[in-house]
Amino acid sequence: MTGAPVVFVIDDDPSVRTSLKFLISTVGLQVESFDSAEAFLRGKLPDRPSCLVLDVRLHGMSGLDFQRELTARSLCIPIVFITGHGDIPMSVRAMKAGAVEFLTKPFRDQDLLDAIRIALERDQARRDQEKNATELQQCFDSLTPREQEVVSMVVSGMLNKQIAGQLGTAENTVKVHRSRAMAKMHAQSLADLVRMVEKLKHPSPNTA
Amino acid sequence: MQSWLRLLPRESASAGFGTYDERLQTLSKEDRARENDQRWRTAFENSAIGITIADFEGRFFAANSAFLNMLGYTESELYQLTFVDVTYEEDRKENLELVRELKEGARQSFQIEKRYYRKDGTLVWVRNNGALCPGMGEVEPFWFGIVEDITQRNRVEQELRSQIEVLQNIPAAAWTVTPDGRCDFVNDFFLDATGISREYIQSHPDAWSKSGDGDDLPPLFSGLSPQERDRVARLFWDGIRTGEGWAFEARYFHASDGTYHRYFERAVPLRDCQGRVFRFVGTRTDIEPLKRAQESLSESETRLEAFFENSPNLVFLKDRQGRYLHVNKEFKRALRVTEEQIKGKRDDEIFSWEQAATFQTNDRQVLEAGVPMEFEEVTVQEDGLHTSIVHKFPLLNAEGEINAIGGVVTDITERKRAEKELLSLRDELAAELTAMTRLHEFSIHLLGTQEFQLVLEKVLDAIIALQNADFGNIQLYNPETQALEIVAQRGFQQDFLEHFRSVRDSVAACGRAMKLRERVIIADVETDSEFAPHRHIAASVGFRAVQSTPLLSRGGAILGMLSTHFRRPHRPSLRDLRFTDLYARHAAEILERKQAQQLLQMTQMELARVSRLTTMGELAASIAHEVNQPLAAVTNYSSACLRLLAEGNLKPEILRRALEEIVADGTRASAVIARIRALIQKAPSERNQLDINEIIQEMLDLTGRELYENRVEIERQLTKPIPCVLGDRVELQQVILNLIMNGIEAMTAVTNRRRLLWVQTQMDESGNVLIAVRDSGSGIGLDADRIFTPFFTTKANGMGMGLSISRSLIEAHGGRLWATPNSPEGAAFYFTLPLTNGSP
Repeated sequence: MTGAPVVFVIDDDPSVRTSLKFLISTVGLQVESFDSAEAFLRGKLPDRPSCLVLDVRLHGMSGLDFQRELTARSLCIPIVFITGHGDIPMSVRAMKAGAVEFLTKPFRDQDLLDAIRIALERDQARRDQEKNATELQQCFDSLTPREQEVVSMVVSGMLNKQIAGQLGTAENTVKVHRSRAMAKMHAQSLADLVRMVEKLKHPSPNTA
Repeated sequence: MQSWLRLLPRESASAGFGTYDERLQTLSKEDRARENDQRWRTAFENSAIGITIADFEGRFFAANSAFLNMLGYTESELYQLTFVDVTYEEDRKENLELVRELKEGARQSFQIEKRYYRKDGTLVWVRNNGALCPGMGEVEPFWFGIVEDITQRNRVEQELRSQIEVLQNIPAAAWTVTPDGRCDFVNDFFLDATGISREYIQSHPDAWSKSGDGDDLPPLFSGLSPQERDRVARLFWDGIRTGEGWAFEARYFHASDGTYHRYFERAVPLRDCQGRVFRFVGTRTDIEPLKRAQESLSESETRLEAFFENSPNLVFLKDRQGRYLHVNKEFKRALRVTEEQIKGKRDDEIFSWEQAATFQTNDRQVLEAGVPMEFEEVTVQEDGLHTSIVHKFPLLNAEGEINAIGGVVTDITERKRAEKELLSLRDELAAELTAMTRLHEFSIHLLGTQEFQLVLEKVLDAIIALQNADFGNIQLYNPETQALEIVAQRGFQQDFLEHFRSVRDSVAACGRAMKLRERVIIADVETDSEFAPHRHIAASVGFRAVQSTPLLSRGGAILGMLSTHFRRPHRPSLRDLRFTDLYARHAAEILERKQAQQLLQMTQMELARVSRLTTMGELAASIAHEVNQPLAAVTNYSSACLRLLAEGNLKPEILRRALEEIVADGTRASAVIARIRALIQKAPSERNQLDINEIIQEMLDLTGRELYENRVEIERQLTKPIPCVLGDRVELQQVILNLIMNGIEAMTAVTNRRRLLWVQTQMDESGNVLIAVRDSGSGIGLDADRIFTPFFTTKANGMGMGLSISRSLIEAHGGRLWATPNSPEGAAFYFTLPLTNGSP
């Protein structure tokens, strides 16, 4: 399915980078470090569950700006903020913008590792969801137009008879389309189908 | 004679004559002859004209009495003579010639005007008509002469002729007119004047010499202006008729310029010896120029008269003896004299003795000097004494002798009064200007010293001296308590100061003045009903009168009060008050300025402090960050190792590496701190030459309120002059402020003794400036140095940074800050500042 999770550490202080790498690796996670947000963006985002451990103070683009930039690019990688000095407004801003955690240096190792774990889980969940959505879309796309029509009518609560009347076909034809669609969509029940269609229409936001 | 008589018919006895012929027939021949004879004899005898009969030898043999009288001979005397004898020598030749002609028959008669010698030898002019009477019978031929005495007539005619000669030559139009009004002579001047030519007259004698028709005028008056004709005609004919002549002025046409000129004409009668007028002789003179001159003279006279009369100055004219000849209207009005009273009188007859004496002395001077002179004279007039400038000048006659004195009087009473006023005003202003200049210099000087308290005290002293007061005080208005608080005073004791510590009421003079924002004068506290509550204190202090002048800002807000007190009931004079106002204005200004200055200073300090804080804040943030990085690294490494250890996974090399990193980061952390400390301890932000006394004084001024409110007394012992130190003003201010505030705080609990803050500056042995701040507070205990540690505080809400920061600041200046207990109580803080900056 997906690769092993990876933690991206972005901090302009080298000793902080190396020490973090060291710490995080003790729990068996892979770590990749960058000294600036720009450096991270230059690279390619791997298709693995990942999260960011990000210092607010960076050379160049600050951590908070970077958070905004990621949102703008629709890059949904979860962030754990770390900072040498923090003030309440900053932390509030960061959290509101969707950070997983906001820790001040020096922090307790457990706090960091817990935050990373949550972040990765979130990322995993999002991925799964995305994958689901994609699959669902593919299934739907595999339906014939007629089948798609029938599906949308079915989930709106129309009876087969009504659908037949609407489409100007026989009820039976409707039934056939319906069962084929359901099979293609892997829906076990009408309720399933309704749920699926809902999901297709309104993909849920990728937040934790 | 007889023969002659025979010829003459006798005169008849009767008087009536009848014709000769008639008579002749009635009488006998002889009687008729005798009557005829008589008649002729009578006629001969009584004729008015002289009649002579002479023979051919010229001997007279008959002459009437008229002739005899004419020549003055008796009959018998005359008969001895011939007519040649009695004829004037020069006329003889002519006479004889005529006689010869007569003899020869060349003529029948002759007429001669000749002169006879009288018996007395004088001459007499006669007209002699001579006729030859041929003989008749026995009668021989004889001469018959009619002799008319023409002496008078000749004389007159001669005179006339000579007059005409004169008339011809006089430079006036002249003429003669006969008694019946005909003009028979005009002179050349007349002709020139009238433009009539002599040729005209000569060729039209009748036209010229006609006497005029009825009431009309003869041609003599041609040229007369038409309007005058009637009047002149009347005068002329009256003059002719009465024989008196005439005189008038009239306009005649003047040939030379073609205009009418005014002429004066006058004709006088010429009479003969009988008194009969035989001519009028007249002249006509062109008086036009004269008239014009007269008119213009009269015009200028009128003008001068008006000038003289209407001059606003008194003008007069006196003769040499000092008698008034003329005075003008103003003179009469001002000195209240009439024309009658003054004309011809001397000064001593009109004015008082003293005045007259002055006037006359001055007149004499002018007369003697002979030049115009100026005097100042005083006269008594209706409204009192008047001072005048009198210009007196001599008037000279044609010979250059002084014959009068003229005078023009200019009243300078008003001017003198104004001058006097001006002078006194000027003196007043000069005095005020001096006072104000002094005040100004004084205040500038004081401002320069920047000693606020001293300024107020000097103002107070000045006011007390000015008003001659016994006590005085200056209060400052505290806007927080809305009360007046005494900041400077002279002569009062503690009880007064306590009583009037903080005045809000409007009973005392100062309180009242504060409320009214106007000066309040209580001339006698005993009689001022409102002051009653304070009478006892006034009595104990010993003042009876008080005035309070508010010190107002330029915007009208109350800044303070300036009061003076007097032992006796007293009301300051207007002049005193005026000056007091000036000083009050000055004091108010000083207060305002000081307030503004203080405000500025405080703001500046606050600003500096805040900026420092901001910097500090930023510094703190940066410190935190800088330090937290390595710290984080250290904890990361450490916790990682602990984890691995827990898992039993810690390999020695990994541990080693981790520990190495830890050491490195730890070092880094302390390096950061060291660097930051060094940053703080670097040279102060500014380096200036500073007068520490000035800074101390500034801070004392700034804390004036706190000191006052906490009843802290200041004792200063500032060595002056003191060398300058090199440093940061704001930082040193902070240190001193810190020490002062600490001192005040330390004494808040003190109640049983004076709260004294003692500030001293001096030089120490090492040549540094030593500053000491001592208080009489609760003291610091034995471990004096502990108070300099950060976060040490005895204050409930203090941060405890003050002294530690102060110490850092002083050390940054190269000095030292320390404390010792003060004796008998309290704490003493000392710090040194080197003269040249020595950084550690």
